[in-house]
This record gives sequence, structure tokens and C-alpha cells, in this order.
Amino acid sequence: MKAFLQRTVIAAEMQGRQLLRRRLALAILVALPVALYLAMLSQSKENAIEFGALGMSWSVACAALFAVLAAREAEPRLVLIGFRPAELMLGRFLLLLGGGTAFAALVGVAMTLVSSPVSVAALFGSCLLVPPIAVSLGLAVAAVLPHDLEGTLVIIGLVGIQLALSGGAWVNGILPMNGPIQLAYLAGGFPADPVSLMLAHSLVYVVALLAIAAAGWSLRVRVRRGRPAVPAQ
Amino acid sequence: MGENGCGKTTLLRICAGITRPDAGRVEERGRIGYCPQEPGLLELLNADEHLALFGAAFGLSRKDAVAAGRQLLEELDFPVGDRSVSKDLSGGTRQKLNLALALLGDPEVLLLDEPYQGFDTGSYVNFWDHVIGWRAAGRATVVVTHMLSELSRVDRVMDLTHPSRRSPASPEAGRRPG
Repeated sequence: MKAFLQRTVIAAEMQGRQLLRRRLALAILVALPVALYLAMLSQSKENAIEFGALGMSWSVACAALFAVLAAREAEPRLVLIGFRPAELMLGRFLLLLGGGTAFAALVGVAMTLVSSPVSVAALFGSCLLVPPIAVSLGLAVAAVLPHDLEGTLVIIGLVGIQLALSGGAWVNGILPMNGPIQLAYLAGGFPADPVSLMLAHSLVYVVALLAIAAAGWSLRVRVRRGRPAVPAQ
Repeated sequence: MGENGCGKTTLLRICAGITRPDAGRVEERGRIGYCPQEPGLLELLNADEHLALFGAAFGLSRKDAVAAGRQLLEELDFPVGDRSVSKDLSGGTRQKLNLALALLGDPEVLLLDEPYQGFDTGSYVNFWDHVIGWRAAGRATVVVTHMLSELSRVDRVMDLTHPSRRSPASPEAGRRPG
């Protein structure tokens, strides 16, 4: 257990070091939700909350996708010499979840100050629900489609559809970011689905996406151990 | 050895366990150190960070992993202490780090896929001296190579070129060089 924790922590640390060194990418990841939020703010400060949350989901999911893709050559080697796929994935998940949550909290504070939401709790709920779903989405996409362009297009497509739809559209209900969207509506004073339903929807998505990510990634980094050789007579 | 596309890298990946064979099985004795042709490095980590991460796989502490790894890097004339991340290193220097990571943890079997690519002449000669040293220390060392000039120094040559395409000068598969 101690070795598992040690390897998970060092995997997370090295993931964090790599992420922090991509300064330009980080700046763009921060700028994207801010730009979406400010653009919508000029039209409707209530709807701007939804755009801010969806912008964050784009950023966090893409950060997770590229974190996996940057390590796709090295990780089979790490598994070959003793890392378990679960240690690498858990380290990455925890690092991205921590970073994403800190980012979401800052965006939540900024949106609270600017948008004066009807429900501050719903606004923060919307923001803080984004990282677990978006990180899981990015990891799952990376496991199924481990290519930069294809993976990015799928994330743009999934989040973009939700951005384009109105809240009542049934399609929203089957897409991953419905929970944060509904909470954003609640924060803006619009009618929304019950909170328990949003949380259950989000939880199901996180569990399903992580299961896909774990299964897909374990297959990709799997090492087939040879049989022990029988000594020659 | 063998012509381009004959399956040298695939064979080594199968031996390492990274690629599944269509048929047959791999038997192994001892822990494997694998050095891929394309350095399997993390572009935004420096050498010490690679050593700490790879060393953790063997249960080495950060301090022990970096100390052991730096010793290996020094033997390969790597600029130890350079804080550059791997993407900023020259091709040959990246390969030295790649090779040192395969050697970390004292594996009993070394699978090296053209590990000297980008090496300057001195480093290349030094590499083959190291191969002889690893062999003398009891490590089974498999090197994928195009460099026929070094074949006289090895115990066994496997030519994977299809027999119909093999030149008369090629050694027979499995032949021990005379």
C-alpha cells in the first residue's frame, strides 16, 4: 500500500511539473472560459454563468486529454518496469482534479462578483461539478481516441452541442455536462431540474467515464509478461 | 540485424511484452530493461525527474534513483546536472538518457533497439565497450543494429532479413560469428 501511494504521488507530481511548464497552453486554458463568460456577459449576465462553466469544461477536459497523450510513449515503459496502470491514472486524475477544482473555485468567485447570481451555492455547485466530469471525459476520450486532433474534436463536439442547446432540450439531459448546466440555470434564476437529479446524472457520468478511461488505458499500456524460462538441461 | 521493415523492432517489443505476438510465446529469465528506438521520454521533464519517476517503479527513493541514474549518465558522457527538459536536449543526449533509464535498477536482460542513434563517434565506440562490459557482468544484452562492423564483438547474430533477400555476405541466422 505504501509503495502504491508513493508511486501514485510521484506520478501526480511529475504530471503537475509537466503541466506547469506548458505556460502558454495554461494561459489559453484559463482564457477560454473567461472569454466565453465575458462574451455572453454582454448579452445576458444570467446565461453567462452557463457559458463560463462550459468553457471550463472544455479547458479541463482538453488538459486531461493532452496530459495523457504527452505520456503515451513513456507510460508503457513505466508499466514494463513496475508501475501499475492504476497508479499512473490515479496520480493523473488527482492532480488534474485538484488543479481543476482550484481553477473552478477562482472562476466561481469571479462570476459571483460580476454576475450577482440568484443562488451563490448553485453557482459554486455548477463550477465545482465541472472538474470531476471534465477530467473523466478527457481521460476517457484519450483512452478511446489517443490522437490529438480526433480527441480534441470529440471534446469540442460534446461540449459545443451543449453550448448550442437551450436548457430544456432533451439532448442536454443525456450529455455529460447537464449537471453543471442545470445548476448554472438555477444560479441565474431560471427553472432547472431537481438538484438531486443533477448530482445523480453527474455521478453516473463520472463513474462511467472513469471506467472507460481505466479499461481503455489499461489495455493500451498492458505488458504481457513472458513465461519463466525453464533452465536448459 | 536485418533490412528495414523486417521486424527487428517488433521482435524486441514482443520480447519486452509491449506488443502481442500473433503466435508463439516469450520465455524470460530475469528482469528486463528495454530501450526503445524512439526515446520513450516525457518531453517536459528533465533528466533528474525522469530518474526519480523511473526509479520509483523499482521502489527506489528519489535520492537513490537520482544518484544511481547520474552514475549511469556519467558513464555515457551525459551532461549530468543539466536542468534542460528532454525536448530541449540534442538527439544523441536524449538517447543517452533513454539508455540510462533502461539500465536503471540493474536489469538482468537488456533489450536495446538501435540505442546509439544520434551518438557522436566517441559515444558510439564507448557504447559498444559498455555492451561488452554489461555482457561480462552477466547481463544478457540484445542489440538491434545495422552496424555490421560490430558483429565480430557479439556472441550471436540473428539476421531477420527474409532468406530470399539476404546478401551472400550476411551471416546466417543464429550463427555465432567466427
